[in-house]
Amino acid sequence: MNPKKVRRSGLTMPIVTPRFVDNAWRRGCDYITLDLEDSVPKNRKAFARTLVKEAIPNVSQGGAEAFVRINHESMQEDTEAVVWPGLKRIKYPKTETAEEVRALDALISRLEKERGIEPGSIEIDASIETARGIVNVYEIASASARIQEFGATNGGYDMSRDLGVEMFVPFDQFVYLRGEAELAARALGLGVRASPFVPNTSGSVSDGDRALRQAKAAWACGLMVGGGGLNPAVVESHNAGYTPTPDEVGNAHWVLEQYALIEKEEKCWAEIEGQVIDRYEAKRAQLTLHWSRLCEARNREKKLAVEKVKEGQA
Amino acid sequence: MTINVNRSWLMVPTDQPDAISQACDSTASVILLDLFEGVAQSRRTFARESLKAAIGQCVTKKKTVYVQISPDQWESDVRACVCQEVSALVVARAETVEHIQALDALLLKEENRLSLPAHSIQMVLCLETARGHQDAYALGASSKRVFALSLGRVDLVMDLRPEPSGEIHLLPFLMQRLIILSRTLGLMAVGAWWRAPDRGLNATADNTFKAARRGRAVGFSAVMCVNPQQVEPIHRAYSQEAI
Repeated sequence: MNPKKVRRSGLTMPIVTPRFVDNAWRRGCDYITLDLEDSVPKNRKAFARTLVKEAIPNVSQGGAEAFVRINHESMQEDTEAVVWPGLKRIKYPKTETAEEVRALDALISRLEKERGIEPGSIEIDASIETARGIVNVYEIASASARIQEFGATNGGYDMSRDLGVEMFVPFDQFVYLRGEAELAARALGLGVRASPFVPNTSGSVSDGDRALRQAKAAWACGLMVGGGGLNPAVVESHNAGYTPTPDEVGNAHWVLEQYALIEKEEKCWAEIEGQVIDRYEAKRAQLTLHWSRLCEARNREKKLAVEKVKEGQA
Repeated sequence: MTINVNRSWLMVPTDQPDAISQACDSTASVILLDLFEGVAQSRRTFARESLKAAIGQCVTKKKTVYVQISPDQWESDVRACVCQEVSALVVARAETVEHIQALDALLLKEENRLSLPAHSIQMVLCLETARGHQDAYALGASSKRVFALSLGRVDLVMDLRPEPSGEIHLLPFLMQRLIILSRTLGLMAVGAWWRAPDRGLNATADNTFKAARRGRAVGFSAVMCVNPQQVEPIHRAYSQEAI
């Protein structure tokens, strides 16, 4: 896995709630998802669409990338309303077939051209939330070059309802679907949005400690794409948990030094100070250093953006 | 499906004669002479040159001999290893049907050149990459020589690390997928249900027993290992008494 973008933390914001949208840039997220779907009542969908163009620069001003979640049922109307400069990704819920993805891709391409947006710059996040989506998972993931990250961090409400399984249980009930999604992402060389199983029997969306444990466990497994959250209380936990610690960075340098010595001795591996050193640990060390540099750069970028806003307000 | 009673496959680097001697002294069913995974890049040619002697060591001890070949120097590896005493090639990082078919063709050519019966050398495919797992069915069906699919050292190659539960990330899924596809194709599934801190087929004797026993319970038929101390626990896990 070779990460290119840093997307550790994100919040999904109901676009029809101004206080959430207006404060989103202050939360320290790597991305903000403006929601037209579950958090918007049916009778406000049309109004919600009119808010997106202005909300994109609003939520981006703190350095976050702006994403929009559209509705599956109104893909055409929603997409027409959200493809504007500054938009980085469209989240397409309940994706079930490759044809759906290709249709969305074609529509985005037309709108990019019409609205002066760099062709191909807007990503598609094809969300797998139904059994049919799981069955077609590889075809969906490979349906468009706009899909750059893929997977399933957990089952989610929609998936649980579609499969008829309970959500908040103390065991991993989504081994199969997460496995299929992750395997497809890895086979296609996409960013892997996956997560180790960490029980959440309370269903809390604001438990910062649990969010930190989850993010740390993900990074320990080499997983770097965060699934985001619903409550600002988890943002800092996700940023911190996915970022290599100074100890990890120090150890990565040491591993590479030791591996260079082993190679000189024409050996494949050695156990040094209780730690196995081999080509695989060396590769992980390189990933740690690369990812750490990306995280540092992203943190700097967001900090500068926030300072710029504050200067403008002063 | 052919019944194969070779439960323990002990992998040993071909450039290390002492390690081969130790392996031959063990009760391992199969000695898997490794030309790739455990051999430093700079010693690969030497390992190939040492292969005939290594095979001789194994044959003297009446061991079944398999050879693990590399994905990048496979033609040289195949030419070095084809002989009557080698029963199977273990194909590390098996990923594409084209590669397996090319291997098959080269094997046939070498068998003909050496007047060996055609298709006498079998193949085991190690699925150690996401692409290999994604295309596992097609790979398993790509040559009649293939008699087993293995997870090999998938945890290392795909950088799969322990989860808080102790399970190795993605491994339970990959394991069950491989077993199902193996059954569908009438092939052996080779592996064990390793858990943290087991790593790269290496584990304590106790953990090896547990991993092999769990693996047997979910459908594996044999276990690859890298340490002679792992052989006895594997046999024990597959004994009648362990049921």
